[in-house]
Order: sequence, then C-alpha cells, then structure tokens
Amino acid sequence: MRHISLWIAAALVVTTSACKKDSDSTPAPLEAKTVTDINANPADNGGFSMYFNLTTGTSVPATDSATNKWDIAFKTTTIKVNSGTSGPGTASAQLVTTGFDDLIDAPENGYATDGATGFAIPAGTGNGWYSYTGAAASGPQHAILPIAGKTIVVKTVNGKYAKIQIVSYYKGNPNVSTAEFADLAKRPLGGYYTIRYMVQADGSRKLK
Amino acid sequence: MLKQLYYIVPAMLCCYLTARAQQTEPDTTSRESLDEVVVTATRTPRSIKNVPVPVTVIGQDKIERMGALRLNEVLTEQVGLQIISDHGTGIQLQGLSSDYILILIDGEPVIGRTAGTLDLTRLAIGNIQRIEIVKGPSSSLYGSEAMGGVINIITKKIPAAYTGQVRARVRRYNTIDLTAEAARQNERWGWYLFVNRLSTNGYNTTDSISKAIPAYTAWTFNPKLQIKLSSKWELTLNTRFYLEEQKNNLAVAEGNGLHLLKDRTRNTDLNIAPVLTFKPNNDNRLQVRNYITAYHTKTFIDYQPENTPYDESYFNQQFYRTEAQYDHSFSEAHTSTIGAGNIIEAVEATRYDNNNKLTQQYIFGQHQWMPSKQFNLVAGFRYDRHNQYRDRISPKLSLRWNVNRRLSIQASAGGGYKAPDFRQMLLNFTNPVAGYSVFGTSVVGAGISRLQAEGQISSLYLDPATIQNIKAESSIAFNTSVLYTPANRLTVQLNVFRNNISDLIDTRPIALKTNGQNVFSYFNYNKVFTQGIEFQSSYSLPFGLQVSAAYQYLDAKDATVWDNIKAGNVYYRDASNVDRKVKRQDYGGLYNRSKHSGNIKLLYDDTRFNYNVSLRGIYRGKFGYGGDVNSNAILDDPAEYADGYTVWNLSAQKFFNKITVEAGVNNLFKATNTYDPLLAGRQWYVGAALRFVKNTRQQTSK
Repeated sequence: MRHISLWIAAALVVTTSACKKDSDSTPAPLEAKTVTDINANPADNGGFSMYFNLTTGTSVPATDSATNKWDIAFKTTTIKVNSGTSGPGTASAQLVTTGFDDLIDAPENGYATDGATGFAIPAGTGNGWYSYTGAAASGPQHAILPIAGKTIVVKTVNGKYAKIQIVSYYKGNPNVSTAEFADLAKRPLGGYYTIRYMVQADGSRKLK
Repeated sequence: MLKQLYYIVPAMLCCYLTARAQQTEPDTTSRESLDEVVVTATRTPRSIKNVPVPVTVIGQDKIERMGALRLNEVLTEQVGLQIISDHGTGIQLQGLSSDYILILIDGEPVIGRTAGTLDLTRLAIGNIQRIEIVKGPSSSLYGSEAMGGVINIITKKIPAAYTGQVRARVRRYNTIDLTAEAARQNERWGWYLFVNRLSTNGYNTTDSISKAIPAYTAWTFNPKLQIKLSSKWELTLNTRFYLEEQKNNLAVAEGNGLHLLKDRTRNTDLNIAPVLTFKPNNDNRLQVRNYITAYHTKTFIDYQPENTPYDESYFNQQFYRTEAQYDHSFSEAHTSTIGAGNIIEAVEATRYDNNNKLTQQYIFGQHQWMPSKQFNLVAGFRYDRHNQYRDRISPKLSLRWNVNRRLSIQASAGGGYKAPDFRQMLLNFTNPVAGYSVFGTSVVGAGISRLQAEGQISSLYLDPATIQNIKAESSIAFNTSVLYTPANRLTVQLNVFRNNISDLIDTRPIALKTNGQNVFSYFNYNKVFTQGIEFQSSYSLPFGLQVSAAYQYLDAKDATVWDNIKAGNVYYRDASNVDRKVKRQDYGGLYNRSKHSGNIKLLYDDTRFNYNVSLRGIYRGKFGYGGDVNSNAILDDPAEYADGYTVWNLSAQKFFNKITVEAGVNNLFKATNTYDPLLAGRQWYVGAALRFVKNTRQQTSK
C-alpha cells in the first residue's frame, strides 16, 4: 500500500513539473484590456464619430480623423475601420462567430475594408454584432444588445492583429436583465461602448 | 366526366345565386351518421377501422359535457394539442404552430389569419356534430397549411324529425352564451338554423391596462339547406356568418409618460359553400364544391380621453374556390379519387399595395387498396401551381395492418407544405421611426427600383434580379402508430412522429439605405425538426366510469441552430461577460413548446339518475417563453423557461325529460402563468338547455 502511494506521489511530481515546463516554453499570455463608456453619440462629439486607437488604448480627437492615428471609430451602432470610405488608413476587419476567449489565432484571410458595399463590420440588427430587441414580448424593449460569441478581428493601421468584444452599449455597462434596465425611463444612456480587446504587438496572428 | 362538369359548374352558379337571393332560407349538409365513419383522412367516408392514419374524433356528447363555448376550449383538452396566445388564440399541434395547421368546416378551409394565427375563439361549437383531427401532413389532399395536421369541424346533420333547442350558459367575467337551433327534414329537402351570441367582459391576468382577453360580443349564424334533386343528385348549401366587436385599452409611451388608448376592432367572417353531389350508384360519386369566403377586420385606436385617432388599420381577404372530386370503386379492394380545383384569392391591407390577386390551380389523386381485411394501403399526391410562388408536389403513402382483433399498426410518410403568407409576398413597409424597409418577394423588385430612383439606396448586398422566386415551406414527415386493445374495456395507443421542415421563410437584409438602415426581404433558409411520442390509454370501468390518460413527449428544434451548437459556433454570455459555448444538452429548442404535456380524465355517466360528471386535468410542462437572458437569442438558460402548470376542470350535467341543466368550474385550483394570458382565474359556470321536440335527445353516451 505504502509503495503504491509513493509511486503516485512520484508520478504527481513528474506530471506537475512537466506541466510547468510546458507553460514556461510559451510566451507570456497577452492581456485583455477593458475600456468603458466610449461615447459614440455624434451629438456629444460635434457630429463626428468617436475615434479610437487600439495600440494606445485611447480615443483620438475628431480633428485627426483624416490621419493614421486611429484604427476604429464608433458612431452610434456603426463601427468603422480606418480605410476606404471611412478614413485614409489601411486598417481592415471582420466579424467572426467565435467567443473572445476561444479565438486563439486571428484568421489569415477574410478581412475587408469600409467601402461602397458596406462596412467591414456589418451594420444592422441581427446582421452584425448586436440585436435590437424592438417591441419584444418579454425582456427589455428597444434595447441594443451584443450577440454572444461575435468577435471583431481588426488588422490595425500599423498591420497588427487585434480582437474586440463588445461588452455593452450602455453607460456604465449595466446588467441588462434587471427591471430597471427594462424601464425606458430608468435605463442608462445608450451609445456608450464598453469593449474588451487584445492587441498582438509582435505582428503574429496569435491572440492569446 | 369532363362533359358532365361543363353542365355542373353553370348549374352550381345558378344554384348559388338563387341561394344567395334567398339567404333567409336555411339549409344543410348530408353527413355520414355512423359514429365510426370519418371523412378527413381520405376525403371519402370510411370506417375509422379502415383508415391508415390515426384520426382523433371528438363527438358532440364529449363537447357538450365539457361546458365549452369555443373551439379552443375543446382542443386544449386533447393530447398533442396546445393552445397558444400569439396575435389571437391559436393551436399548436405536435409542436407545429397555428400557421401549419389547417382548420376546416365541413371540409372547407377557414381563412383570416393574423400573423399566421387563426383565432379559434371565432368558432362557436354548438353546431358541431364531431371534430376530426388528423395529425401529420395531409397536403396531398388539402394543400397548403395541412403540413402539421388538419382539424375538420363536421357540423350537425339534419335530424329526421322537426327538432330544436335553446341553450344558455353564464360564466364568470359576465360571459353569457346564448344558442338557438332548429332543423327539419322532409322527403325532398331539409333545413337547419343555428344562432349563437356570446358576450364577455374579458379579463386581466396581470395588473395591466390591457386585458388579456378583451371584452367582446360575437354573433354566429349557421343556416344550412339540403335538397334532394333526385335519387342521384343532392344539393347542400352550408353558410356561416360571424360578426365580432371587441374593445380594449392600450397605453403608449409618449413624452413624459403613458398615454391611454382605446382599441376597437370589428371582425366579420362569411362562408358560403354550395355542394352538388351526384351519386348514381354506390361505386361512383361526383362532388362539385363551390366555396366563397371573406374575412374582414378593421381596427381603430384612439387617444383617450381626447378620442382623436392614433392608428387605423384593416385587413380584407376573399377566397373563392371551385373544386370537383370524383370517387370510383373498381371493386371491394380498389377505390380511386381524383380531383381538381381553382382558387382565386384577393387581399387588401394597410401595409400592402392594393389589388393583390392570387390564383392557384391544383389536381389531386388518391388510390385506396385493401388486398384483405387485414391490410389497407393509401397512396396519394397533389400538385399545386400558384402565381406567386413555385409549383409544388405533395405525395403521401400510408398503410395499415390489422394484425389481429386486438392489435393494429399504422404507418405513413408524406410531404406537407405551407404557402408563403401574404406579408412574405406582399408587404411594402417602411418603419417611420427606425427607417428600415421590408418588401415581400412579389414587390421587392419594384420597391428597390423606387428607392433607387429616390436616391435612398446606398448599396446593394445582392442584385434584386437574383432574388429567386420564393418557395413554399415544406416538410417530410413520418408517423407510426400502434393501437392495442389488451382487454375489451382497455385501449392503448402509441404514436411516434417526426417532421423535417425546410425552406422556412425569414427576413434577410438585401440593401443598405443612405440613412444607415437596411432593406429586408424574405428568403427560404431555415430548417426545423419536430419529433416525439404520444401515448393514450383509456379504461372503462364498470358502473359508467371511464378513466383516460395521455402524454406527449416533444422535441422541437431549429436544425440550423442545432447544427451550429454541435459545431461549437453558438455562444452565450455569462454573468461576468465572458462568451462561452452552449452545451448540447442546454439547448431547449423552439420557444413555446413543452417537452412534456398530457392529461388525465375521469368521466362518470349515471344512467339510472341521468347525470354525468367529469373531471379533467390538463398538464403543460415548462416551456421557453421567448425571452433571452444571455445574448444569444436561443432557448438555453433556465431563466428563459416559464414554469409548467396543470389546469383542472370539473363539469356536470343532469338530464330531465326535455331539459338539461349543467354547472362546472374551470381552472378549479387557479393555475396561473405570467406567460400564458389564456389562463384565466377560477371560472364557474351554469347553464340550461331546453329541447322543444322529443325523441332527438342527444344524451351523453360513449
């Protein structure tokens, strides 16, 4: 009996150390950052979109909209990328149906720029990243709710891969299942994005 | 046979015109009177023991002892049938919603659906002799909407003697139901007249401004006329007029608060069905049926207390059908049926362009073969062509094997279909607030051209010319049924069913407008399946007591979602905003379907003191109520289910010579459910009926 226990203990030591060795060999995991309350209401931005630089994690003034200083821009429910009809840059993007954490590698192909045939990140309810509840029979009405498992993959203006999860469209990232949220009079303001994102600085498609 | 038709059709028209000129004259239909004969399964009168698909028959005595007022109250007590409130009180049959269920009155379709739901509260039941229910597709005989099943209301046949009845029922919520009927048959002709008035205050299930069931008053008239032109020719004219006026309160969020609105709706329904039957002998029968039906609904919504208009909408539908059917028996073993028909349909509504005319032609054929008493086989098909969607063939094959006196097996495979609805073909709608547009497939080309000319289109996702003609939604279904009678007083029936439905129609964006919104049209792209097991058992104890139990297990899933879940492409958002994959076992399938449902019934008949009592418990298991709490628009979270419930109904009837008195309580234990507005509180009722001619007493019996 004692012998067996010893063997098990030995085996455990070996396995644990093996695991350690494995994880040591991979690069340090990237960190997901969260930014709250990106105000995408043009009325608050002088009629412009809210421009955002993923590498620095900060917003960019509208006066720089014709530059390479931004990657993506938010204007109510529309998300633009700095390219084609939206800006002078070479950024591109696509919307994939993989959860943020499950998306380990950015896709190799499939990126689009903003153009005459539409935005790289499709707009409209049920078509892109959100669904509009309308006069739903139950749950909050007339709400913009992100669709679970939709992740935006962006190739930034400087050619780096990034992934973005839209967490919330409402100020303060509220719990949308409460009676307070369902009450249109008490619901926090819309057009305030909370996003979770990750940028791979080394130029590879690894996003973990 | 064609030659005969040439004579018959003008003759029919004449008869129709005459009949119309004398609408006050009542009429009738001749119907097979034997309890065991059913007509819905094969479109020919056949013994229920010799039809290869299971037919549920609900007889007049069963209907009367329930104290029911409208068709929904009768159907809700049947296994496999679920009443669902969605733009009206509709039926769900083996998991398929009201859109896919055909409701017939004496073989003619009832029209007037709102968002696919045919409101069963429009159908009075005092004139019903029996209801036949065929589950599974019967499109090979009946065409569109017979995908999930057919519910055929057979109205009363005209009794031999002069007879009549008046009946009154009073129920909670100031519900008053008054019925009068009379009939007479002579050697050459007979008539029947049925009049019903139902009024109710309606009720609230929650503390809200709008009532779950609005206050309404409805009138039903059903005059019938039957003329034996000769020993071979018979003409019947079945007509029905329905008028309903309802009132409700609504509220709309405007400015700082809610503004009260008053809703007034008027529904009218008209059916005229002259049928000419030529039966030279027992081996040949030719029927020419004309059917004219119209449904109108008009709604006014006004601000209160100002009484100024908020909204006004209407929907008018007319449906004309001419159909001929010829049955020929070659021998005891072989019977063939062939038929052809033409349908002209017109629809007008607030959101449609005017003058929409739909035309449809069809032929159907069926052969019944009984090689022996033990076996019988029915094969049939129907071909439909329509001016708005693609042609369609619906086949069906079914067989029955009476293994021995106690055991029989039925099996069938068939195709069903449902035509695209008016909205999917004809809608021309731009949301005035949000600015998106939706076009039906018949008007999308013109709609896009117009928007382009107005400079409203920013880009096209696809060329409108490539939008293919829409197809009907279609299904392939398999049904197997075993009927076993282990003892004379005991019957057990087991049904297994599977429906694969494809080409479900839904909206997809087709263009981007300059205002940033999309233009939508309709496409065939989705698939669902339903499968399940239905079990029914009935045991007649001595002393007039009958006990029955029934249960349905149902699995109804969106096949596209199910495949995506299996492929790991469907996520939910957890409480900490992390997107996680939906596990297979968490997918609950389609909303509003209960995996488990069933009923228990105790019926007691006392022949000594002439009374009966019945107690019925109707169970509906938990179901997805349509809400989404985890951002994936599918049913997968426990919080997305509504609780199950059981409704108990108790009723009793006592018969005196010409008088029946009755009383009962519906929803005895006050079952409630936030997501089922049709569950009223406990409702008592009392009633009395007086027959004014003896010897036609329709007393309860098994």
